[in-house]
Amino acid sequence: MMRIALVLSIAAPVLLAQEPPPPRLSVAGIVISSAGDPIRKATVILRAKDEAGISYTADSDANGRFVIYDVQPGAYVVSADRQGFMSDVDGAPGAPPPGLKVEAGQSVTDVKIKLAPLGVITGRVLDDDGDPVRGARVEAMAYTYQGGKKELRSVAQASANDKGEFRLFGLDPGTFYLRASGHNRSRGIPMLGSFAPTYFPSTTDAAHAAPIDVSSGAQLRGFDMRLRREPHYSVRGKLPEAGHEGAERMLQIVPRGGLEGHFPSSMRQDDETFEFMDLLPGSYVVIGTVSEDGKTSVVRQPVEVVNADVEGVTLNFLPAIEVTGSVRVEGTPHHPLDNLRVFLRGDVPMMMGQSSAEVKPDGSFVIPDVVPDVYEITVGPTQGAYMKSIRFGDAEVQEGRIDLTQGSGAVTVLLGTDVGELEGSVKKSNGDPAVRVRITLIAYGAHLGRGDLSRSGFTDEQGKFHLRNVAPGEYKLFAWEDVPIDAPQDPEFRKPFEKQFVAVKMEPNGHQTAVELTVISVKASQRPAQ
Amino acid sequence: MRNFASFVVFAAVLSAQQAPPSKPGKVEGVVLNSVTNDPVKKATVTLQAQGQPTNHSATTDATGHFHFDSVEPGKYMAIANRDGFIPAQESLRNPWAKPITVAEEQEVKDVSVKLIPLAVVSGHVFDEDGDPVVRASVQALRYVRGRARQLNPSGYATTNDLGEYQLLDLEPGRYYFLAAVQPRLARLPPHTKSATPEQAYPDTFYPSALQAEQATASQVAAGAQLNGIDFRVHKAPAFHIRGKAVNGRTGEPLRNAQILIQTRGSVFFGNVRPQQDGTFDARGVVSGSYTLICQTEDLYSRQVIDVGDHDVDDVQLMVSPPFEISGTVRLEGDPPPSEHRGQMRVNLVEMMGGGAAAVVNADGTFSLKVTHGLYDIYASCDAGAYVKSIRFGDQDVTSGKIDLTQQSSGALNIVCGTDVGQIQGSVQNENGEPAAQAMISVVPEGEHQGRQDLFFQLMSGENGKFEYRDLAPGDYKVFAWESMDQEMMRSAEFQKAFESRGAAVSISPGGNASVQVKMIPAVDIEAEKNKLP
Repeated sequence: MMRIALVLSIAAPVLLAQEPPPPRLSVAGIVISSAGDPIRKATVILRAKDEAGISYTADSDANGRFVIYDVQPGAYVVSADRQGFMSDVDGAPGAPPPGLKVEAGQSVTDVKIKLAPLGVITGRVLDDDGDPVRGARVEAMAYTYQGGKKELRSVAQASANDKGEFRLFGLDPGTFYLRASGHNRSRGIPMLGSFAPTYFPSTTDAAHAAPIDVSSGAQLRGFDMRLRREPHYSVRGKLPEAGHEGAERMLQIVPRGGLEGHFPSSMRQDDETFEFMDLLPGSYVVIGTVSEDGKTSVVRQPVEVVNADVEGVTLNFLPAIEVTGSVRVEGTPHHPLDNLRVFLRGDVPMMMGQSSAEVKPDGSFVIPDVVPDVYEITVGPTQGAYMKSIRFGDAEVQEGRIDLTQGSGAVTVLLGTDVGELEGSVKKSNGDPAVRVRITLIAYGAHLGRGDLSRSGFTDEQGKFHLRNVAPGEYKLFAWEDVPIDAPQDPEFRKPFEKQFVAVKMEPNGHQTAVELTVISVKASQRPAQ
Repeated sequence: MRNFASFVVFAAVLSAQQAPPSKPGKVEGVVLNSVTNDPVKKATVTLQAQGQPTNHSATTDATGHFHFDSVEPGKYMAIANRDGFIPAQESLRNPWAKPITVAEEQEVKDVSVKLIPLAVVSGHVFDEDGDPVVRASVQALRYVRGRARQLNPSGYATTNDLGEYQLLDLEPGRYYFLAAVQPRLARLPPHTKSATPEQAYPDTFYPSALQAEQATASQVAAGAQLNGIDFRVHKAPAFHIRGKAVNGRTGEPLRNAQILIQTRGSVFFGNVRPQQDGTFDARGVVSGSYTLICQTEDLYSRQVIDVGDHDVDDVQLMVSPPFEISGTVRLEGDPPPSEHRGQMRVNLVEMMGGGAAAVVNADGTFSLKVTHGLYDIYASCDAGAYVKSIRFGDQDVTSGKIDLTQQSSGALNIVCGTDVGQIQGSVQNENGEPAAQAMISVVPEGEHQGRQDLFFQLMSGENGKFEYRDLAPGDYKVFAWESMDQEMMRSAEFQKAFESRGAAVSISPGGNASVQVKMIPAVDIEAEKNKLP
């Protein structure tokens, strides 16, 4: 900071002596709510479109106004950030903020940034006698899409106070499901049962949860929930014969559905037996690792807890597998392909479901200690390239999945660099340009199901789009006015819109222009069933 | 549902009891709030049988009563538990549980188990204009007296959109309250100029102090409801920490990493990602001391940065791979390899909680994978031996501290001494009578001063006598306390206040010493506790 000041003070007199100072270019404006009220203390961000360019930030004053002097001419996007508000501009969710062009010698002083207030849900968590559940954990859940899969995820969390009252805030407009669970504060002292996670109004089954629609700025009150205490159970079993003293053993139990939410459990373990305690009924997986003399054995065993202790679980440890292979690049990459990693993603949504390893400069990789299972294999980050083929042993891999249950084999990944570009424009049904809408390119034909080849982007202020790094092959191109982020990757979601695409065939190193299509309005069409 | 739960538990108990033909007894009682003496409903009461895996559990009814109708004769511990309470200390020996003996067909009645109600502290965080601060984190901090006196968080909450927070379930004690407002600037692109002066909120102790020394501590009583603990936070000039992260193995810029920034009290502050060229720019940093931690799958670095009244530039974060420290543990005088009996471990623990652990092999060797940093060594010898010396290379590190900020190799050699001595003693109360169940602390002095591994605590027997074997030769001071908690026992400043009331004792190699100690009464201990900040 001081160094910059010093440089300026030397440079300024020189400029003054030779030519008149350049005019102080400014960008100024106001941050207002959807209702038109000024919003103070918002952080305004003027982000340079050119990555190397200078970006600017300013706080809005008590009247919502801001001014930024000495802005370099160039292309920017402008946004504002304030707790309790979200950006209020037209366009599909996830679209970048609107653009702003600063011309040399011209100030822009009428920038209007609109923010929409977020929603609030309040209520109480009570037990079956109507007593407050102090410290209960309450979550606002919403259906979101991750890698083409629809999932009910916790998007906001709150803790109930000593009276059982909760306040979930900062909710984007949308549909939510409330889930409450007790808080485990047992401090290692045995408890007789605990509260099972419950959805509003009173079901433990997410499929029967009541949807709650939250509009912008809504303050929804009185969402009271009743929790029931469920008994705890234990899972007991035998450990395989212990090796010598140097063996490192790790054992844990996790809910099959992942670790989200309430999960009280403790464990006891000696040389021969183990016990997981304080488990609510549900589906679990016991995960274990034994390392001995440099060899690792692993186990991943499902356990169902219904209405009794589970006794006599025998853990079948299997030797862990080492996956070796190489990544080769065909042709010359458009971007440097460094920091490449190989990822194995299993079906179990938990921390141990994924392994990865770096790709060494010679292209080789070694992933140690992999649990024998079926995995999706991916390589990343591959900007300007794509996985052209994957071989596992002698066979070409289908849909990017390798089966390690029958042993390992060498994996060879070939990265293609003959990617192409796709340009075009999107119109609304009335012929107007569709601005800031989402474009999705989905692989078809020989590459059907290859999510990693899918490309996504947005149209600009003129309704034009430009997708890069498109692998050769057949695609369907969609444009969406109002689609949840990542939803178009889900074949189930696309079903009702299967006819509203434009077929695209990308040649190696191809460049297609003037592709035209009409935007889909999800809301206007029938809404897909939840 | 409660009945169903009881049924399941009793079914299991009954089936387990078919083998021994002894006739069961009954236990009934009440759970009480230790402050109000009101009955506590919905508390879980567990009877833990000594030496048996099966427990009996029950829930108290609306009048706080519980009953066990079929209890195998034997000795039990009754423990109560309920949200918002902690078990009251029933005796020194069994801090949480109440001992109960059940004879054949006996009906044990009127067992009262107490629970201490936990406290609730609530308030707001407002900014300088009185506007609510959203998502500020509020912590309740207490001094912990371990190796060094340290303020440690023991309760945590965040403010909602109205600026409200509530700290639930605080144990009774003296607390400082701290509000931290994280700057919402993480999403700013690199090379961002600020048109408004860069400011941020420094961590603020209740009500508005920037240092713990100037803050007001609050005594929180059992079951207290402290409302209106409102903070006013004020903006201060904010600076940048700029620098470059370098892969210590290749010398290349480190890109795919995250740099974690923590304030001095190890409170999370924020994080920043290096650019493609490895450079990073952390903004919104007010003056103070910060720790930058960078960790990737196999590289690690940690660096402390002091920020004064201007930006800190050119920080070099050398993020290095772990290296191996190998070592040996051997018995004094015994030529290696010497077989050892139990499972010995050597742990290196870093200030921020990182570290490495190794199990010592049968031949006395071990190896540890560590990264650069300052570590505490935790090593122990088999029974009948003590850690006599620890050397790292040619450096004596028996004190338990090892500096690995520069070195990345060296041998760690631990020698276990076998010339242990023993101590016998007796404790008297103020009237000169034998004091049973007094807490005895044996504190190393002289050349062993500060050696936590040579610190012992035990309890006097029914006749006021105690005995301890396997003591390292050297000087000690022995204290006897009527009541004590773990933290206080290890506190140097607390011990100092009672220095004159300890009995000095010297153990010679293989020797035997005896000592007489006067028990320090609980009232004196409480009085001294209250003097501490």
